[in-house]
Amino acid sequence: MKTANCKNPHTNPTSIKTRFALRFLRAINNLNNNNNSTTPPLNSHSAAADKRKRCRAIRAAAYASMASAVGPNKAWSRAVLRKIRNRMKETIKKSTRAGTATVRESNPRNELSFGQENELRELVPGGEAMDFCRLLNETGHYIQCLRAQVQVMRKILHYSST
Amino acid sequence: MDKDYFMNAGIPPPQPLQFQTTMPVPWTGLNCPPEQSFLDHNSSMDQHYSNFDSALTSIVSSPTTTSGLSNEAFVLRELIGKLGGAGTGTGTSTAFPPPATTAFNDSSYRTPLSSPKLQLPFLDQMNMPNLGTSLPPAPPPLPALSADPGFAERAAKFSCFGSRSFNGRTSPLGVNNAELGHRSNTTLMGNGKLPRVSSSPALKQGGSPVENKNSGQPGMEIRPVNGLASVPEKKLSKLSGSGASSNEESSVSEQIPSGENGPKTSNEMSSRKRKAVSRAKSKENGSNSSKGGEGDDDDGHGKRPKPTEIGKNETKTEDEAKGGSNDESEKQKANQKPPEPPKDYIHVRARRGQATDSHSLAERVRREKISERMKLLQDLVPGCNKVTGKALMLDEIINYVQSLQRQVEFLSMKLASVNPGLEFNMDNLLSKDQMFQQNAATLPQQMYPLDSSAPTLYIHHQQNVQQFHDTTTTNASTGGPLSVDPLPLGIQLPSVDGFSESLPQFPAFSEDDLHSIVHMGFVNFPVNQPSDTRVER
Repeated sequence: MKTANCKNPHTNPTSIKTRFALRFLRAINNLNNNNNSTTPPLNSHSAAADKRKRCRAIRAAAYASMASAVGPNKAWSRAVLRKIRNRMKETIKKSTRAGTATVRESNPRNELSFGQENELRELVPGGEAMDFCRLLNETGHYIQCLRAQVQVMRKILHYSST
Repeated sequence: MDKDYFMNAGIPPPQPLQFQTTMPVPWTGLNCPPEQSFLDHNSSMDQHYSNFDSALTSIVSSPTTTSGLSNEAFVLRELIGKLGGAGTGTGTSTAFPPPATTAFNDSSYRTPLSSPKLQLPFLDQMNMPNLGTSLPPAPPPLPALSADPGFAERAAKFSCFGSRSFNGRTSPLGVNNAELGHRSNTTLMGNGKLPRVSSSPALKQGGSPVENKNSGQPGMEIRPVNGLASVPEKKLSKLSGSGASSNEESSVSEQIPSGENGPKTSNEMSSRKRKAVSRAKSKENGSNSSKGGEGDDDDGHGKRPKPTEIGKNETKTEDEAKGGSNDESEKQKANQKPPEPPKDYIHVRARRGQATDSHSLAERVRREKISERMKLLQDLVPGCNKVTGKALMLDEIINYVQSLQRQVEFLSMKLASVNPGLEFNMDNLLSKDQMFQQNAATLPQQMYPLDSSAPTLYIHHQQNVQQFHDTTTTNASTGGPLSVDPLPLGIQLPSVDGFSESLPQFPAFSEDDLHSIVHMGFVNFPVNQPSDTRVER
């Protein structure tokens, strides 16, 4: 995992992109194979529904591959992976894991606006059980990864369309 | 022959006799020849040493001789194994756990010849294989030993490098290390002939040098390793957590000449990070909160790209070094206060003219941490430079995250509609790697040549492409102010020739236009469906 590079592979944007791209393409291939095995619907209604389903599946695959590419070092990636696993197991999401259960009370004196902080918590996966400082950290890394994800997906789209 | 060099280099004349008598069985295959070589070449040690010096200089100048070094690694491994067997015979008390021996075998390859000091641990490590009977890795590479004539020389050169790093390492190393460091320094200065021989007595010190090497190696190896294979590094890094963390810190770009500075700088870096961590900690929280806040404090040094990793490393270093933590871990936030003695919690001193109760101090610590993070986020989020104030910044951040998530949704929708029958192969990634080198937020303007295997993509979805491009053109035409990137028309594939002229420009979406695009996309997608179903395999 650790290389002699100055940037850690898990946080290095370039390597994250590569890892994410690999996983994402693999997931899409799997999706395509699974879809191809089933007979394609002929009427437009089910096709639209299938398209939406497929879109959701691809989006989930995108987040899952990004989270797995990042690894368990980040709280948000852990939260995403946990969500996926829980969804797969169809069990109630456990919100009392040791790592994230410690909800640190955010001191009102430090936050200018509680609403914004809560909004941010909702946006960043796993942000509910973090103190504000850590939330900002996770947000920064999450933004980096989201950006990388968007770039990779754009490029995949670009290549698939040519 | 090379084996002889090593044997001579690392082991003093009297010892070989002992080695020979007490060599364990598993190493016999390896040890027998060296034993003889010991006896034969004791006199020629000096000659070999001179060879070492010359070879090391060549190696130092070209740190990127990875191929040769990797061979050397194997050779080193061999030698270490042999010497290890020999070392145990001498009775050097090396009480290393068997599992560690294998790691040492692997890890010591880097450093062994680097310095006389290294050679000591090298020899000790040679003891280790005997102890741990971790022979499997060592015996096979035997042939490689003799394969590299310059190996010994290079090893000797590396030993010079390693000694410096040894000097720098002080924390887990005992007195022996210091002694070894001195010896290695002296040997470094000199030709290394006699000093190397003189360093051998340190072997008898037993475990401590080996341990020193254990902890020192990670740092040592990392530095000269820049040109070496990275596998031993990893093994080393696993050996000692502190070493590993410091490796990560110091392996950035430290060259051998700065080997001495390496451990120091790594310590400094870790100390700086510990300072940041200590800053973040409040008095009351103590060690627990420090661990929680450690990850956040790396940003204090502006090293955003590796926040969590450094934080984790810091956690390790902090935990490990807590007992002997220095002032660094207790540095004040403001950097204006003097370092505090190491404790489990951070001492925060109030600044002049400010409240001194613990609550306000903790508050101040927290506020400064948060403001640091906000500054880093400001760099990440585009267009935040003009925004001042936490509330506005938070608004911008929230908007940016939401827009990114919307982009992901939109792109996934496009992907779902475009590629029902596509098979993505890894050839795409090859070209994509080139793309990833750029930090372009929009699609690349250049065209990347696709591999010949890529045609499979094109053949299967020609119609799809056409349909898709029709929709994209409509999107582009009705999308408003969209910047458009030219498609790579240079790619001439037989199946796509007919479409090259008809390929419209692929629009590069700007975040502001996503809303309109999304709506348009929904409208146009149903048009594709019939064609998609036709093209599906």
